[in-house]
This record gives sequence, C-alpha cells and structure tokens, in this order.
Amino acid sequence: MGLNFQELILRLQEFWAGQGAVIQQPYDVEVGAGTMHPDTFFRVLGPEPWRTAYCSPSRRPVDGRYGQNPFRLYRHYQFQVILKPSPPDVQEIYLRSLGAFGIDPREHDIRFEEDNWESPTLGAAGVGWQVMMDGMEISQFTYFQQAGGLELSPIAAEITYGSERICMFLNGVDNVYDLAWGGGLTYGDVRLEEEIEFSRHNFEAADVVLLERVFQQYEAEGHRLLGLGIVTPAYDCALRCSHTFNVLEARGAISVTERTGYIQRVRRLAVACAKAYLAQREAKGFPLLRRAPSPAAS
Amino acid sequence: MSGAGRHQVLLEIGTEEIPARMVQAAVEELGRTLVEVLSKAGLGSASPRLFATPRRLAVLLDGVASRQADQETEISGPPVAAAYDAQGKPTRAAEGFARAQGVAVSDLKRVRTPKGECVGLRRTIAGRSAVQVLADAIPVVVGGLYFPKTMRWGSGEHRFVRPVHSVVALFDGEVVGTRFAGVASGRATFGHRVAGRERIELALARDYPEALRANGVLADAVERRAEIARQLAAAARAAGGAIATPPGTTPSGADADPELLDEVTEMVEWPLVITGEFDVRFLELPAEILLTSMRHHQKYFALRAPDGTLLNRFLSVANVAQDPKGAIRRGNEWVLKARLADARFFFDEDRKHTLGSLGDALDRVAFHEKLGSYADKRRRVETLAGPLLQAFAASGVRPDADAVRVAAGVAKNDLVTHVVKEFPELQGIVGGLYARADGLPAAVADALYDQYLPRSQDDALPRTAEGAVLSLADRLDTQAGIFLLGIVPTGSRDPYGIRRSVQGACRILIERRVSLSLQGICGAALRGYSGRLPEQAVSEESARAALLEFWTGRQEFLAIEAGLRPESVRAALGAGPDDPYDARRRMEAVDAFRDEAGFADLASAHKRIKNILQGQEAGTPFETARLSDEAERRLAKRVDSVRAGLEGALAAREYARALAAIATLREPLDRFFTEVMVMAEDRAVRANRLALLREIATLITQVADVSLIAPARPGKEA
Repeated sequence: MGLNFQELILRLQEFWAGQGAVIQQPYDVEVGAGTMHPDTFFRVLGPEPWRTAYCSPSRRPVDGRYGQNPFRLYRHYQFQVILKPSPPDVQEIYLRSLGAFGIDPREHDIRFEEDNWESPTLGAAGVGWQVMMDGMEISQFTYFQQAGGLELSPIAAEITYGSERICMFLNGVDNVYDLAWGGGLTYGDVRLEEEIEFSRHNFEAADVVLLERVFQQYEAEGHRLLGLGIVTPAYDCALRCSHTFNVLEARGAISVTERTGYIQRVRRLAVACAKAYLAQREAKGFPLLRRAPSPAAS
Repeated sequence: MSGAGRHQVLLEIGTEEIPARMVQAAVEELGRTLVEVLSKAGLGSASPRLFATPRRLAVLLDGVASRQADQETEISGPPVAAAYDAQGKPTRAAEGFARAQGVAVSDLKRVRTPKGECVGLRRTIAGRSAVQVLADAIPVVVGGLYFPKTMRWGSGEHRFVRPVHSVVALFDGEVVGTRFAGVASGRATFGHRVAGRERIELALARDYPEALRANGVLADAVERRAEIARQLAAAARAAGGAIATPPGTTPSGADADPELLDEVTEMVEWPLVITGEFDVRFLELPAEILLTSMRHHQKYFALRAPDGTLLNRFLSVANVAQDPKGAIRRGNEWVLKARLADARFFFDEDRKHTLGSLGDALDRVAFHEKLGSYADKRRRVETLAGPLLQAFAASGVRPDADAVRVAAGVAKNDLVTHVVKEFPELQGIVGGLYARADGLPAAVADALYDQYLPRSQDDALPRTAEGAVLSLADRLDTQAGIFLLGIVPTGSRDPYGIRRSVQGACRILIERRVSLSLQGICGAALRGYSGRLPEQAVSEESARAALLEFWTGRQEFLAIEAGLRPESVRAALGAGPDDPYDARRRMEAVDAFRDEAGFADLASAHKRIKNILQGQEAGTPFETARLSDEAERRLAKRVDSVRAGLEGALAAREYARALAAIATLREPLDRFFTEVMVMAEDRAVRANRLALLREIATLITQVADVSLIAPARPGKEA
C-alpha cells in the first residue's frame, strides 16, 4: 500500500525543503488555489529569486457535492511549489519528487500534456502542462508569464500536486473519503461533515444580501488601504472578494452578464496590489537579490 | 560549386514537451525554410526528412553542397567624365572611390553602366561555406517559426514554444557553430526519458534516426503513426473488436478516429498500445457518453464488437517501450473507472428531470454576450423554422412540421445538463438521447441529435429533413446575429466559426435539394433580432448585403472544392447566387456543357453583347415588325423558339438542356454580327436591335453569365 494522506504531504515538504524551498504554511484567508497565497502571488513579481513549497487548502464552492461524489470536493488540498527563476532541470527535479512518494518513473507512463493556465481574477497567466501518470492528471506544471497584470521576468515555475488524487491512485482507493489520512482515521472521518455543511451553505444557505455587501465593503477597503500604502492587508481584501464572489456564484446569485463585472472588480484590486507590492520591493532595493536562496543547501 | 551536393545536414532543436497540436506544422515549416535558405544560397535543394516528437523538432537534409560558388561582381564608381580631369588625371572623386574600395587609382577600369561609362572595378566575392551559411541562418529560421502560443522561461530572456535544451547542428560530421535561445549548438542529442541515454553523441548527421531508435525514440512521426495504427489494429483484433468512431468525429480510410490518432502520435516518443478493461456495468450508459468519456479526457480508443455494441475494453497509447509489471494498465483502468463513475453520476443526475423541463434555465445561459440568452435564440429559431418549412415543402421535401416545432422548443435544453457541461462536444447528441428516453417522437429525437451536423466539411449531414430544418434555422440565426454585430469573418479571424456554419448550411440545401431565396431567409433571420439588439453595429440592410456576399463566397469555395472549374462556378453565380441549390445545378450544367463544340463562341458572343449593351439604357422590348434584315429576322425567330424551349427546361432545372437550347443561338448570332450593323443610324432601328440583344442576354443569364468563360484572347467574331 502507498503512503497515507499526511505522509504524502510530509514527504513532499521534505523533498522540496531539500531543494532549498522555504516551507510555508497554508494562508489563513480563503483561497481558491495555492497560487493566491501571497507567497506565490507577490513573490513571483519582480527580479528577486524565490523558492517555496506549501500545502494549500483550496476552496471551490461550485465543486461541493455534499460529500456524495467520490472525486469532487468543495475544499481540496493542493501542494504548491514555486521555483523562481525556473531552473533548467525543473522537469527532472519534478520527476525526482515523484520518487519521494514511491513513484518510479521507469514503471509508469508519465507525460507532459499541454495545459495553459489563466486566472482572470488575478490577472495571471502561464504556459505549461498537466502532468499525466498512466492516464491520470497528477500535477499542474506552469511557467508563469504574467501575474497581477504584469509581465514577469525572471519566470517562475509553479508545480501543483493534486494531493488527494495522487494518494487515491497510490492506494487504489475509489472514494476520496476512504483514503487513509493518518492517525488511524480516514479522509471522511476528518472532513466529510465539513463538505456536507459547506455544500449546504454555498448552494442553499449563504446570505446573498450579506455577501454582496461584504464584497463591496472589502473591495472599497482594499482600495482605501492601497491609498495608504498598505499592501498585504489590501491583498487580503482582494482574496476575500474573490472567495465571496465564488460563494455568490455557487449560490446562483450571479447572472452571466454580472459575472464579468465581478471578475473585473477583483482583478482591478489584485492588479493594484501587485503594482503596489512591486513598488514597495523596489523602494527597498529588492532585498532578496542579495540573499539568493541556495538550491544546493539541503 | 553550386546545385546539388553530397553532404548531409542535421538540425535538431531539443525542447521540453511541445503541445501536440503544434508539432507537425512547426517541423514542416522548419524543413521548408531550411531548404529555402540552402537553395537561395546556391547550396542545393534537397528534400528534407522531418522528425518530430514532443521533445524535438529535427530536419535531416541530403544533397547539400559544401560551399557556394565564388561570384564575380562589377562595382561602378563615378562617371568617367567626373573621374578624370581635362588632362586625364584622376579627380578627387576617383581617388575617393578607389580609397573606399581599398584599391589604387591606377587599378580602376572603365565599366559600362546604364548611366553611361563609369570607372569601376571587378571583384570576386568568395563563396561561403555551407557551415557558415547555416550558422547564420539557423537562429533566424528557428526563431522565425510560427507557434500559436509562445513562452519565456528561467531568466526570461528567450522566447519559444517551450524551453530549449539543446541544438544539434551538424554538417556531415562537423558541428555548425551557432546558438539559439541561449543554447550553443553541438553534436549531442538525448534519448527517451526512461528508455534512452541522456546524452547521445552523433558522429555524423545521418546517424540521427538510428541513434534515436536505439535510445527509445521513434523520431519519424509518419513511422510512429503507422506503428501506433498497427498496434491498435492488432490489439483490437486480439480483443475481438474494432476501433469505434466517437460521436462528432469523422473516420478516414482505415482510421476510425484519425484525429485522435494524430494527436497521440505527437504525444509519445515511443508508442506502446495497452489494452485495458472496465466494469461491464458501465455499458448501461449510452455508448455516446461512454465513448466520449474515454476519448475526451483520457484519449483512449474505444472498441466495438462486430455487432456494433461497445466492448468493455479500451486501448491507451503510452509513451514507453514496455509495461513489465502491468502498472500502466492498472493505472489507466483505475483512472477510467473514476471517469466513468463521474459520467454515470452526471447521467443519473440529468435523468432526474425530463429534457422538456430544463428549458426554464435557458434565459440564464448566454448564447453570446451581445446576442442574448439561449431562451432568446430559442424564440428566434422557432420563428425562423416557419419560412424554412415552407421552402422545404415547396421543394418537395416534407418535414414533419410538428416535430420541427417541438424540437426547436427544446433544442438547447441539453446545454444545462451535467453531461454536456462536462463534454461540450456531446451537445445535441445528449438532447437526442434524452428526448428518446423521455418518449418524444423519433423525428424529434433525431432532429435534436443531428442539429449540429455537419460539424466539419467532411462530416455527415442531418439524417432527417426535420434535423436539416433545425440545423439550418440554428445556423442562419447565429450568422444573422454575428453579422448584425458587424463581424465579418476573414480567413485568419473567424471566432464564431461562421465559415463552417455557412458551408454546412449550404451543403444541407444542396444535398437536400431545397430551393430557397437567401435574400428572403436571411432577411427573416435578421428580423428575429429587430428591436432586441442594443449593441447592433450595422443596419439590417447592410448586414443582409454582407451576409449574402459571404454566402456567395462560400458557395464558390464549396463548388470548387467539389471539383467544378472556377470559371463555371463564377459564371453561374454571376447569373444569380440567391438560391444555392439552384446555383449549384447551374454550375454543374455550365461545367459539363462548356466543353461542347461552339461553347467558346457562344461565350464570346455573350461577352460581345454585354459590351455593346454596356452604357445603353434599357428601352422598349423589341418588335418583330421593325426587323428589316434577313439575319436579324432569323435571329429573332430563333430567340422565340429558344425562349419557348427554355421555359420547360428552367422549370425542371434541366440546365444542360437549357444551355443546349441557348447554344442554338450561336449560329444566327454569328450571322447577325457579320451582316447587321447594330448601331444603325436610324434611332428606332438601333433601339430595336439593342432590345433584341438585351432579350438574348436575359435568356442566357437565366442559366449563367457565360461571358465570364469567354476565351481571354478575342474570339474570331470580335
């Protein structure tokens, strides 16, 4: 049998720590993907080198299935890696990382299939692949080209592992809730109730009027903070807007025509945060340029 | 030395995985441009051998010369008069020229130029070696390759389709020293990620294919495709079935799914077909949904038993040499189980509602951000079905009008089903499946199932007349909306697939033999948007003109594709493009008839008539009584009999017979032009003769503007 869920995440952390990555923790504001963590969104901007890895619980309200779908989750756990600049052997490092959880690339069919990524709300776009193992997508592999509406240079490589599905695959488990988590418990023991409740909340119970107000207030607050030169808290506001929008959408409260407008509003705030962050780092002389993390240090 | 040589050149760009859809076009362009560079440089014009895998684009050229021939050139300076003074001494102009050329003034010779006699010199420019030419050309050629999307990586300085890792550039055994994307050229390539060596030194350019083969890379895509097809056929046979053609795709020759075969060919360096199995209980799902689940996400080939039913087996193409422990097969089976469970979940969820009950949701589904929702589209399509049904009935095709109305009312309901959201390529098909399951009449279900046919130029048409009406109404509505937004598709920009839409509609009309007026039906389609299009960019009238012109262009394209000669097509369209079926019949008649003896003379005569009539205002109809000459009386008589004969032929659309009748005008026309002066001095006589010619032109152009096929050089009568 393969590793349990928590072992998988521990192995990945260990592997990437060995590659000189800063092991971060999940962000404590709701995010839809590991990319939204400030340690990705901000750090890929500007010239400073950066390596990080962390597990990122990612909330996707529309994907909630009341705990009844064996593969889809309202909240899943991405394992996120950023390598900036992307090293020339980044694919080989990635393939070695599979060994960390017991995959021998010689026994499997591992392929890199075109899959470009775009996040309209973050003004971000990248080019890359979905990594397929024996026909299953196990990771997203992206060379960021743009974030916060800004062209990037140097370019960061982002690797995102789908932790649940990799673990299910390793264990031949057909239902995510049957996955061994660790501590003698299953994924279902740990998370099922939460999935059911958040599905109810997102699809049936969330207060639309409240959410619409919250969206507006966080949007205004974000811009106000930026006016004061306060950047990271303003970005938290952008994240809250983004998540609020996602819940409103799951709740069926946003028409097709309104949708574009909401996305543009989040994007405007995120782009403004990105510009402000970059200006702030520049004013400080891009401090990490002098303190490059060393990939060799392990 | 120039022309063909005896040397080989290899260029290989080693990259990270290039998107499958871009590989083939890129390597073809690479081969073409390299050959161009060499032949322009006078270094030979060999045909290239192309190699392409996800990780490499390579070209091997044979017959390359080693060096360009030396070239003699003449360089001219100032005119002799300005170069020497009265005493015959060199002037400063001559000295300056000599200095600039690095020779002594005494070395200057006199040369003839178009500007007169000048001083000048003869110089030999040494030919460059092929290695030098290639070293300069490679970065330009590779950097100039077109990719639909490119990227930067690492430091961000370079741009290509994916990061570049190696450049192999060899002239026989010599490295062509060059650089691309920050990578210096060399002789080392690399093998398959797991089945080959990481570094393969090539002694000679021509060693390339075999060196790669020994390292787990079948670099020739044509060979790789054939190998996959061979393995697929063998595996299908072993499983007791044959490869199935998925819905929405078109088989080609021996390939049941050529598109998928092309795609997987560009995704592997060494193919291994693996046969997997899935639980027979999934076979309860409609075959269309099963097939699409396998193909859409997994790129698997599904198998059919000889009786047409699906087998619980699939074929997957892996990028490996072997699967010794069966891990790849087991993995693929596990993944497919998850996919099919998902598909079954979607299907079961969908079947909790009838298709008809899903229609309320359509006002929240955007058809196009500026053209409103699918509920709006439904209203327009329902209305447009009316005149289409009439046109079908008038053409002797009698669709079940009730079935068409029911189908138009629920046609887009499947857009809100889970299955279509997951597999957009199943739109229409799912509607048809669910309609049948709901017990709706077969005519309705089939019309829904086929409403997007034909999807491509070679695709099948809707099987039933009801499906044809629905497909036409849907297409015309979309075309009208897009043209009202002022969007006219061009060769390079057609975001809404309007070309394909018009061509499909045109094929339906022609192959169903339905005659209608495009003016009328496009007008009806445009009126569907009247007063409901806040962002309308052009008037209904100009949208109609643009749309009709676009239809004419597509009619021409389709007819030429069908093998009709361009002039025949234009001649028939020149006489009226408003009814595509009728126009096609006329094109065919012209194309068949134009090789008959005397046709060229008829065409020339028509051209002559048109020239004479040009600028002449239409007058009263001609009167037989006013005809004086024998030749014109004979012609008028013939016109009468042709007109009588034409009526029946035109009504029956027997345009070949009509043309034969018209052709009998040739001889009396010939005589008319020889013996009769059209532009007579007597105004009344002149007007009457012009009227006679106008009558003839009208007769001819009921079939085609044959003057467009007149020989380019003047005919003997002209």
